[in-house]
Amino acid sequence: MIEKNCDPKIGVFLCHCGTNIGGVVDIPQVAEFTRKLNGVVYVEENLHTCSSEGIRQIQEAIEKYYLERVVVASCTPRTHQPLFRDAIEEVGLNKYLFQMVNIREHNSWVHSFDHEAATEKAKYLLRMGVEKARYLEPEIDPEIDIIPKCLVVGGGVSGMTAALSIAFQGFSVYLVEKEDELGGLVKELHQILPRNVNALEVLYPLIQEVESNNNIRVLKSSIVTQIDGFIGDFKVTIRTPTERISAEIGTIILATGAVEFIPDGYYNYGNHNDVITQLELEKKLLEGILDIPDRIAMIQCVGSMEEKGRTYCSRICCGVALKNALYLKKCKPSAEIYILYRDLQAYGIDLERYYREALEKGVKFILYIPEKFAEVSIDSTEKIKVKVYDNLQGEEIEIYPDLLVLSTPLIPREDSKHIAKLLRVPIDSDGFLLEAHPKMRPVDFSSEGLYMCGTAHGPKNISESVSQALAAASHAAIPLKKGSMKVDAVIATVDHNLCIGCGACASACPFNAVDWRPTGQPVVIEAACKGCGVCSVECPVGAMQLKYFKDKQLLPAIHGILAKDYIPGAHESDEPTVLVFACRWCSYAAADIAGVMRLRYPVNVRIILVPCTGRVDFKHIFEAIDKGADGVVVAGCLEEQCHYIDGNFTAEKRIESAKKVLQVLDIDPDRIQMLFISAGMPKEFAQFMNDFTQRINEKGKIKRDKIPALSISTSSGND
Amino acid sequence: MPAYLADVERAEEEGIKISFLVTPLRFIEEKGKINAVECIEMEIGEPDESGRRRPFPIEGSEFIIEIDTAILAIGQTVDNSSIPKNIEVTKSGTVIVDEITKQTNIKNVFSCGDVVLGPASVIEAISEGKEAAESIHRYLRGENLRKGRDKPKKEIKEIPIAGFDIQKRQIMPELELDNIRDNFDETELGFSEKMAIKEAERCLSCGGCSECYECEKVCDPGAIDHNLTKKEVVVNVESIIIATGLDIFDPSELKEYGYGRFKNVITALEFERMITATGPTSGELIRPSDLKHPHDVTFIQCVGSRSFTKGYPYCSTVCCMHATKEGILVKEHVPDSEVYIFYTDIRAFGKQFREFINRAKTEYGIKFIRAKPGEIREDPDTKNLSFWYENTLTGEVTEKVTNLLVLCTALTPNKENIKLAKILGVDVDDYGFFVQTDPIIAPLSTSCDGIFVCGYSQGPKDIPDSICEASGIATMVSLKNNVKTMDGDE
Repeated sequence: MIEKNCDPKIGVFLCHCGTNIGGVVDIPQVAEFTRKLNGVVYVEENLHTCSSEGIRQIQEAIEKYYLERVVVASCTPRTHQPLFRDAIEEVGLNKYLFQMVNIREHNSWVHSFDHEAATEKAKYLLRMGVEKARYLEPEIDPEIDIIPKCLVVGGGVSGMTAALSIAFQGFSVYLVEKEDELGGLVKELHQILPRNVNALEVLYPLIQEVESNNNIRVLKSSIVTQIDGFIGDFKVTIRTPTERISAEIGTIILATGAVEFIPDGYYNYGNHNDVITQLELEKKLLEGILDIPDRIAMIQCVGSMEEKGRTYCSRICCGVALKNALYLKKCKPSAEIYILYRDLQAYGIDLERYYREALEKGVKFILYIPEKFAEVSIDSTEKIKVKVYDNLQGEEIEIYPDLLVLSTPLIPREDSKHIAKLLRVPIDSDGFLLEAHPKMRPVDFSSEGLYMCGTAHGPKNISESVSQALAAASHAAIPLKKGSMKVDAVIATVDHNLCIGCGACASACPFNAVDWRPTGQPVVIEAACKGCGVCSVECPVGAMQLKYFKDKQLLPAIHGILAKDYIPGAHESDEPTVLVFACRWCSYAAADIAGVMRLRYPVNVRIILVPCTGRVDFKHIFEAIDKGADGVVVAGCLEEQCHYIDGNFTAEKRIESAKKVLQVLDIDPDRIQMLFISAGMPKEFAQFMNDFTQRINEKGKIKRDKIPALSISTSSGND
Repeated sequence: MPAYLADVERAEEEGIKISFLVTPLRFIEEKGKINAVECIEMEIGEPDESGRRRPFPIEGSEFIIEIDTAILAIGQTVDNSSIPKNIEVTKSGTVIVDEITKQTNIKNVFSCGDVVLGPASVIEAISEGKEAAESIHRYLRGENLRKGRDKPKKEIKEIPIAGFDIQKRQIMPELELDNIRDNFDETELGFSEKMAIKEAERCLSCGGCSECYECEKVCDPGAIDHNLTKKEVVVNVESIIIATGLDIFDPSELKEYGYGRFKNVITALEFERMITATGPTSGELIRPSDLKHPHDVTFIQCVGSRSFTKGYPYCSTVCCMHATKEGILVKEHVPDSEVYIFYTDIRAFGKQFREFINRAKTEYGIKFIRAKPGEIREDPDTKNLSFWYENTLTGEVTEKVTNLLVLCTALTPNKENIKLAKILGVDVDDYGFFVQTDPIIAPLSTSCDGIFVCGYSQGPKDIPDSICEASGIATMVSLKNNVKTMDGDE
């Protein structure tokens, strides 16, 4: 261990986050603990470290105490790390000398019912941060060029709006539409809320404008078959009916839309010509082929708001039902119309007005609850009978509609999944594209250079889609306009003094970013390296390292998050400990969202950030086992969703080998496990942690005193 | 005796004897030292011409008090040695002046202060002096001395005391009588911190800022500056973005909810403020009436929204979700509490919102009741609130008693919108929301080219929708020259 007086001076800032952290974790106690850690010369508590006051305090402390490393213990680095990095850089400290510790999403929010244990966990997390910070090194961000072209996938109203507004700003746009004409779902609609304009009156001018714009290359009947690369330089392959186009693209917008759920098996749909969906009703109205019958019933929430599966509310169906009911009433005032609803989503100004108007016009609203909703039957004379319990009247009623319209939800298109897979971006539990932050970043993916809009993101009406499309265009145009941007310095670096020239790194690199042949010494091609760290794991001598995630940084961090031995004040728990190596693209984010959702999992789970599970080496796993982990989870992206092609699979292979080693050591190999998960699976993450921890608890702690020579770790680690 | 009653009482307590209706006649001296004083008792006669009852000595009532020190407490009169003879004075010697101009009978001589008023306060002296100076200034410039000065005195506004209980003054702790005679220690010991706070709490806060500048001193970030003045700045811009946000409906208009009358009825925004770490209770959830944790918290939805009588007919769109979030916060702050949400329809239509509601029900045990509550009443002892309601899903009619009632009030357009709309020349709707040109294809544009609108200024919406619109406007602004083509309705 390095002597204290040689250590860089570390300043630690502990955020209460109002009561979000401070209400659970005893921050003063953690501060007291942190003060005793080697190298920590300054500790400050903030109510909100991210406030301008908090930032000022960090900057002042750097100047006053000559801090050389800064640790902030607060929320997830996925949101606030850039802010803090900029802040320290403003006062002259390299931004990579900053370490963030997540004691909110990964601690106070998921362990809010055990304050004491959460406080203890916070101490371990803090020690991890401080230990890693000690060994951080300054790095310089490389600058890359942005190809000034945009790809928009999906030619509905959202995609067209986004494409147009980027084209108007002077950039070339590829607009890829799967079908043989533009327009998406809207071309099947009759009228559009809130002013009852004919849908085609809105759509056709837009299509014409898109098709006549010189900056937009419209590719119909086409699909995107392959996407490689990163922001600024995506290599995209598009298959059109006649050719295969390869394009280099700077930014990508997904506007792949949604489709109406077809309610097969619901309420005799498919068994009777007069049981139809709202979209089918729209089509009939559009084509003018509906002879409006005397009695019409509409059932809301068919296939949505279910107990399991499609639990979501589809947002637009109540509005659609109101619109169509009013239209039918206008055409035929004598028609009897029933709307069977659960919670009427007439939000905002216009829809509430429609609701009132429908009531005034005599549309009958019947509040049903699924448990008491009896049935739709068809008798021998082909008459439709709806039996429903009217909750407001408190009685069961029977309706014999001539036409039964089912309001079904929008569901994600199959292509959404396909394209999400190609781009390795997450989808949520309902199958819609998952944004970087549900409140603050509704059009960005967490990966840079990728944006979304329209119903692919979730059900929404046209006006909302247009706003979102303009927003996506706005964000996608920023890098295009800048022309170049700085990217993460987290890339590989080689120490030629240690290198033995074996070439393992070059053959391991999924991006051909290690050039080995000319000199017999590997050279990292900075522009090509994406920073997965697979090469550094393959290197037998530790010469190849990933910046910011070097062995000499990760091993002390693992030590810090686990070891109970060398810092006084650490709490000796009888509970086994589980260490999770979490990939920044998927499981780390899933854990963040689990926090946002206030899910719960055991407090003995501790999470350490890695860029990709491909970076997790044997020595990290065994250092963890040696330093006190009784279970280790390596959590990476889903199959074919690894941002570095197959880092997750190399990790899986490594874990298989590690299990064999455990067997030799007479340790249950099931104590190590690989988890494949996406950022959109927070519930699965929490569930897995509950189950795995329970299994580890049953196995108990590893009896380390009985296992000789556990540590095969730090030889190439701390220097 | 025109002394303060408290002083008189205190003096008597200390053993000072006060003889009323007595006049001293002479001091009696012995060997060059005062020895006694001879006094005579007086009686009050019939009112004279001026209406005053003058005292007369009672013949033969002379008496002697033995003393060794006499302290004379005499009054003050005007020093008229410097007043010229030709200036008119009153009988008691004070100078006669015009009440407003302070002008004496000689037009270029002005007078003010004690010489006019007799013994008076410093404040009065300063005020008089300023008035006299004003007159002299005008006189020298040949202006009208009176013009604009004949203002009626400002009427003192009635101080609103409704809602305040009568609170007695704190009694100043004092030295015991036995301990005060042989020293010069301060006899009033001063308030304890607690008493001082109590005393200060009696303040009705009816006054404005008195420019004491204490706030500037204690504000660390230096956010207060008393010298800032309104400035008009002219800037040339190509586009204007309207993002004026929202206001909160004041539920005291709806008497039946008891807001403003019952301490434990608060609005959702007040709840949010309380539960924020930077708020007045540092994030502690308490009842305003007794500062204790509530164990039963009830939220009422659609207060002033979806209402056709008072308030607004539209749906404020975000309240179902924020009430649910707040309900979860209650559970997290006070784990053994019960939370009820009384709703009309649960409008949870955003991404993952339904999941959130389901988890609020199943994991946190928050109870959602579809009912509109009847009139709220307050238990005068416990300050608990109760109301009757009919559950529209079950038909059941029950009474609910709760510790804390949170009103999810309508969110309304910013009150300044209408004024702003006039300045900008764009349209607002009947409520005061800005109107879009075309809600379908150009949802961010207004009737005026180059003026855009986003967020709640345009209508009720949640944060992600507002952010989409805000980011979208950035595109619109950079496209400003092409806006017409974007709108599709040239």
